[in-house]
Amino acid sequence: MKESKIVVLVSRKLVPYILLFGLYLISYGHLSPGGGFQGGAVLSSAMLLLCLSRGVAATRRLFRYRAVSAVEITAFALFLAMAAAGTALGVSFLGNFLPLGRIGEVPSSGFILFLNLIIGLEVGAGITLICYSLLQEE
Amino acid sequence: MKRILLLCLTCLLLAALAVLVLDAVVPLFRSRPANTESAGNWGAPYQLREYFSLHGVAESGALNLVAAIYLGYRAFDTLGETIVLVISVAGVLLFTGAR
Repeated sequence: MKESKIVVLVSRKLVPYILLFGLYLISYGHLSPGGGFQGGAVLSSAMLLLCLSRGVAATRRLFRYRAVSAVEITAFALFLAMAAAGTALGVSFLGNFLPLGRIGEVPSSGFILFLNLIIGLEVGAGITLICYSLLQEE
Repeated sequence: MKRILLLCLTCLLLAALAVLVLDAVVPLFRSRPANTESAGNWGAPYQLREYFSLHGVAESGALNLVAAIYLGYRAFDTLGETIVLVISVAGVLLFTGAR
């Protein structure tokens, strides 16, 4: 299929802002509506836009399959590590062992911020992997 | 592909082991409504709602109570959700024959 200049240009300009918005949703998840799952879905929607406008092969050159799957697995392992660290530090399984900080600021509520980051990366990487495998050309 | 599946399965097994071992040692829920009699016959959902809206922000430090609940009070549920996500991704990769 012939590439459309408008689609290519708009998607190239739009993708960084979508990624930025996804990171914003993730990192402000404990203060405003949003959070890990939603932010991860936004991140992966940017990847989906890249896949649809530039093709899966070009996107996979930019974000390697191996790297994305490594992010997915590492995020899941980190989640388990955070969960176990709560027990190791004497709080409880998945208990909040970090200081809460001042309520209302971005680096507050210790544990929840990091779990949001981890879940956001995991959801984004996971749905990106699904996009790669479902949209790939034979 | 095989390596990814293997990693997923090991993570799953580790999670199951961790849950089995740690839950036997440590109770999951430390914070419960203090006076359960005051809420009358409304039952647990009402009491929990009252408790979260009164103490949720101060206890978890998160202004967004939804985040406070799904990553604080019920983070165990979120752990299950992430396991579901990892397994579904692995399944899609397996059945589409991705490389």
